[in-house]
Amino acid sequence: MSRLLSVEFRRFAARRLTRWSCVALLLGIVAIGIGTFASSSNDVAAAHRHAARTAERFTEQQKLARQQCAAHLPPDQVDQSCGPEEPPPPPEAFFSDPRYSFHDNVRDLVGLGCVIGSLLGLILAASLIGAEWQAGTFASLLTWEPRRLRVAAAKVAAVVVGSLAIATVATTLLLGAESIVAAAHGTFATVHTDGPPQPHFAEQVWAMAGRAALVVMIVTGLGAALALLMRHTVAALGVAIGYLIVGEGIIGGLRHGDVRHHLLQSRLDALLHGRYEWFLPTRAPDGSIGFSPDHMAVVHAFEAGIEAVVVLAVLMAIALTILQRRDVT
Amino acid sequence: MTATAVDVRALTKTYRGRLRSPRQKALDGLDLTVDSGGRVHGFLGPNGSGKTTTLRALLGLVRTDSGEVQMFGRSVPHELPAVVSDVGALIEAPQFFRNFSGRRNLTYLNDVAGLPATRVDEVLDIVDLTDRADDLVKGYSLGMRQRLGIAAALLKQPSLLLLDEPSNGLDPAGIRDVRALLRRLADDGTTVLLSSHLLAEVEQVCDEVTIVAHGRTVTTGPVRDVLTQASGTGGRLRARVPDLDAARRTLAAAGLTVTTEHGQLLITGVDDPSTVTRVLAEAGIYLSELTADRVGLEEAFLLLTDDSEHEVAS
Repeated sequence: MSRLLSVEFRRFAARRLTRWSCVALLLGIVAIGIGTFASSSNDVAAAHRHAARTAERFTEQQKLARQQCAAHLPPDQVDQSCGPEEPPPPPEAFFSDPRYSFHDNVRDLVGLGCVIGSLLGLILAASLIGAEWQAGTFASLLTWEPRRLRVAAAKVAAVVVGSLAIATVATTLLLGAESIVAAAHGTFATVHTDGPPQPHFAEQVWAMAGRAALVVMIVTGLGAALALLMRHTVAALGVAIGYLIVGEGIIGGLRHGDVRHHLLQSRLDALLHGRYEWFLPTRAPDGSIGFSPDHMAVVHAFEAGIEAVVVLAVLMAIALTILQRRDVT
Repeated sequence: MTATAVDVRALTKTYRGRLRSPRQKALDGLDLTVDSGGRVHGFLGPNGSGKTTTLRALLGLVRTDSGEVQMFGRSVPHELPAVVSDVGALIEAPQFFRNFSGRRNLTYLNDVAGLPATRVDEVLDIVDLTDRADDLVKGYSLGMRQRLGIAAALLKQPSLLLLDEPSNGLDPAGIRDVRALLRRLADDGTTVLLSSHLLAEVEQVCDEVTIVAHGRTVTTGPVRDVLTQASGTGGRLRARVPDLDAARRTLAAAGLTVTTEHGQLLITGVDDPSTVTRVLAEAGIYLSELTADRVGLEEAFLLLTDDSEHEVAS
């Protein structure tokens, strides 16, 4: 089994799709870093001056508009028609901190790494296994190692671990690039309060990173299971994307409140972010349906993770059972 | 190791039809026995007769409906892992990763089996692909891919080699090289099961042959016996005599079946050629030439598979 694993890992790493994906990720990370660097600055004083100027302009425009409104009205109707005279807004209302805050963005960066890693894992898994079926090399390999489950397990393990490694390295590089931006054009603290980081913030981020890794593995595993079932890259990707985007879109739209928390996307979202909330529909006395913050449903990461893993396990069990029984031609 | 490399008994296999297409019976009680110990066993049959399905069943790639399959005394597919290291195979067109080089493809297979790295160069040399080993497979000609497939089958230094049309796509020199290679392997103790449409190839290189049609074994045995069987009961002789009519009457009177063809007598149903010389000599007719008239494998194949077709039709 270790020989089979070693060969599959080497083949995964040697594939053009894997290599080009890594290059594309690297370029994307560089582009994000450059974009963040270009759109951030350490010049907080200039931002304050800009906010003060904007506040002044806003106040002048407000005054001018009121004067124009009041010009043709009797004084006793001005307040009623043009609204009461507002005090000028403080410059802080127009202030946007130009510094890049690593603290405020780190969750989004981990989330971005997870989404990209999952999509990449899905494509790499469907391609690695589907292409082998199409080319006939799966059958060739079975003449060397006839234990089909071992062969399939080695391929799934290689693509899951490989995709996770790529996603982890890419996310680490992304965080590294953004750290450089934070060091040069920003801060590692939050810019919202300029105070110290929240308690347990680092632990929360690490936990999110761990859950993100689980999401990448689940989605990659789903891609591998579908490719084993469909024996074709495009068919596997078509089923995956068709279900996730079209299928779940329709189901979620039709039965908003009842089934949404059972949809795979909601489960993966909850697993990544720790919880997933959505408004439940409520029926008003006049029969109309509305949404209120008082009626919300929540799915927590643990139950979402269990359900997603069960979905993967069932799909993989079906794929392996069929692989074991069907002819390889 | 047992004396039987391959033992297939009453094998049946029906492929499910897709959607509205009917089910297809590929194997209908096929038997096949291949002795081990440096033999080349030909496996002949028309298209769709079940040759490739049988080879796939031997490798555990297709699940048969009934029957028994054994290789080296081990039941297939359950005990296949125990013998697979002794079996090399080339089934239909060899399949490789097109964007990897020939060497890298072989290295992966070599590493799966845990063989020494030097083995890759050895087999590349055997099939004369060393110069192109580092080129991508997608740039290979059909013949080069076939040679790479043979190289892959040889990697394990197998005791049993299953080859399905190994000469496909090869030029005449390549076909000759494969023939010589198979003979050399057999002389070194490798048992080869060779499925081929090239009857001349089979006739020249094989020690035994099994002919199948409609998923059933039509005949099996040493090539010479199969040819004799196809010639009819007993041998067939061709005789040249000074007086054709007198000789024909004399032999017919002695109970032999005689026809004339191209100025010669064609005598069938003769167990012993001396019967002909004796009968004619007693009548004062002396032979100028008496030769055995052999049926070629191609003719035998057509005769036997035609017979099988008629049996199925009736």
